[in-house]
Amino acid sequence: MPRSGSVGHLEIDSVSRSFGSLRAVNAVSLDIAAGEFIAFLGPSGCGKTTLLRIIAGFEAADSGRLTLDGRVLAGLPPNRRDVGMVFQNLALFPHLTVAENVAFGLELRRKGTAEIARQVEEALALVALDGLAGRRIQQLSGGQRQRVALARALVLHPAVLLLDEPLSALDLKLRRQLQGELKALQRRTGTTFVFVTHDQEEALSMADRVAVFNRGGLEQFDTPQALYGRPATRFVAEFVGDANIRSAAQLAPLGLSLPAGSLLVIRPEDCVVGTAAAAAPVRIDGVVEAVDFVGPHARLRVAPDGMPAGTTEPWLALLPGAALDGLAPGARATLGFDPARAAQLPASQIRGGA
Amino acid sequence: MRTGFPTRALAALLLVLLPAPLVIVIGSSFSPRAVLGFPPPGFSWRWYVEFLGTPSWLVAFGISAALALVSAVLTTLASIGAALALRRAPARLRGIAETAILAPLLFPHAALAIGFLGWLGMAGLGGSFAGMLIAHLVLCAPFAYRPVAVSLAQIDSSLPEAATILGAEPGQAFRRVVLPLLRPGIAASLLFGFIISFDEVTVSMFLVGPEFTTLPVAIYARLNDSADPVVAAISSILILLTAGLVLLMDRLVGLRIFVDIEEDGRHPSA
Ligand SMILES: Nc1ncnc2c1ncn2[C@@H]1O[C@H](COP(=O)(O)OP(=O)(O)OP(=O)(O)O)[C@@H](O)[C@H]1O
Ligand SMILES: [Mg+2]
Repeated sequence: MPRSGSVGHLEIDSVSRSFGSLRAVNAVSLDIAAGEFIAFLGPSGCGKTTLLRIIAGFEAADSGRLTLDGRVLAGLPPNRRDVGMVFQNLALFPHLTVAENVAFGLELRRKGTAEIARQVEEALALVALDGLAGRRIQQLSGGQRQRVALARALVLHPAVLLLDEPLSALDLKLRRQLQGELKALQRRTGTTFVFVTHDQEEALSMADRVAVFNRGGLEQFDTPQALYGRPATRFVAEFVGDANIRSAAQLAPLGLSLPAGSLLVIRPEDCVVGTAAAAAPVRIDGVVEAVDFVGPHARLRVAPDGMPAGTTEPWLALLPGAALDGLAPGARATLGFDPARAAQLPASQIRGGA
Repeated sequence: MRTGFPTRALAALLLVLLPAPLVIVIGSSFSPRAVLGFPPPGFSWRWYVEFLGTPSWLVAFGISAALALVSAVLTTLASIGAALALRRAPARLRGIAETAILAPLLFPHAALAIGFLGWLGMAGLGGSFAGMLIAHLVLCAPFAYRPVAVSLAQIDSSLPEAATILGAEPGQAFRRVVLPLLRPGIAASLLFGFIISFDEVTVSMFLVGPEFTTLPVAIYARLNDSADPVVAAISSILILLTAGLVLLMDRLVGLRIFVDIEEDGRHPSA
């Protein structure tokens, strides 16, 4: 059921929305290509749902412009936008069966009975729910409900499918499984997906590009690799993965000189500890504060010594579990890293964060 | 917690006392003699025949039935409208409006009756069907509003939104999603409205006229001058009708609503 590759190009041009004095969405611009899988990532209350509801047409933007494949969306009600949505609580109709839920949109489009039956069957097969067509919603498991909601939206072949934290209510294992299925489904249908989540791992693993939001504003819109490797702001560096973030002043005693006011972002997995640190370009001596062993790898916290008070933030390191030999809390250790592998945040771009 | 002996004895007593009046009324309606008494000294259909053969009884019955039907339908429709409008209203306004709708419960019926008597008289509606209907609408409103409002509150606002984004116009979203989910509440409203109006005596007694009376008022008037079993026969018919109505509702929508409406906020089907 893929559509021709050119539908689903969504342009968001400096869209803003306030509730009273609160700027829920602040001048956000995003250009989403047809067929892309986009994740909206950000902490609770940063405006993800509000932006999604503006795209769907449930909320109006105070200013800015939205176009879908060149059509201006302002003034179009949700039922005329060619946009689908999977709600956070799924919003399945409890008085209808699985098949009737999926047929709902087709019936409104006045398709023939045979045509509706065929498409419903196809959509249920797509989400591996064939055989459950006659069930009531209350008789389904959480994962099955999820799939009904997807089938109900996808059967209409919307140009864009909006998904508001659709997996957040599920347990971890089912969540991982459905993440994979959702991704495969998106590939197969070629539909543009906009997927809201506050789980950074989910966003990085599923999306082609991730938009990171903070307090209504867009922090960065980039591929997962770029987001992680070259964060544009301190907020992104801290929110996406773990990071050692050090100012020029903190790094000067180590012999590293950075432009005044700029920051260096050193990922824990780029740090080495113990004998391996001997060869590292930058070395810090200290005491191991904590060790978390989690099987394949171990997280270490090292408190550096000999630095002026106030600048002795502990360092985080992520080592292969096997490289731990003898490193226990209280042990003296040397931590090293290569500044060439670290990302630098120029002073002008340090927004948000702590 | 284990229930002690006094609690259980009280429960047993209530279980005996609750149906006792029904047994006595139905039993004494079959008495062949002209005095109300229990147990009946014999068996006869005499009083049923008298009821069905007396035009004034049948007219009163018809008036009460029509009154109850119209009251139930009108208060239920008004309740749906009010609940839909108040759902989107600011909390303060909603509080005030809901208190106004429930107000008839708070005042003594005799006081309400005197009020109605006064202003219906001034409006030239004293002793008329229209006047009685207005009073019944007010008295039924609190009972009809609550089931509909509770049903509506249980419908998640994302459901009509989901219908809309699937292509429904606002009217279609209401008819295809909101209305079916409101059905148990609407049925309960109709049933409550009908029974409240059909049973009403206190206020109605003040508003009947020389040519116009309701069945409960006629029964009451009859009891005042002679205690013959025809009133027991009529009451037995009413008991049967009410039981039939409740069973029908149970068949159509399930009477779980009578339990559920007391638990705000939970979805009945979840
Ligand atoms: N209808 C509304 N009226 C007033 N304030 C609102 C309304 N909707 C959202 N807000 C506020 O706007 C801000 C953004 O809300 P939004 O629901 O978009 O956040 P979110 O990023 O989706 O958060 P979460 O991850 O918790 O779902 C919040 O501070 C919220 O309280
Ligand atoms: Mg949200």
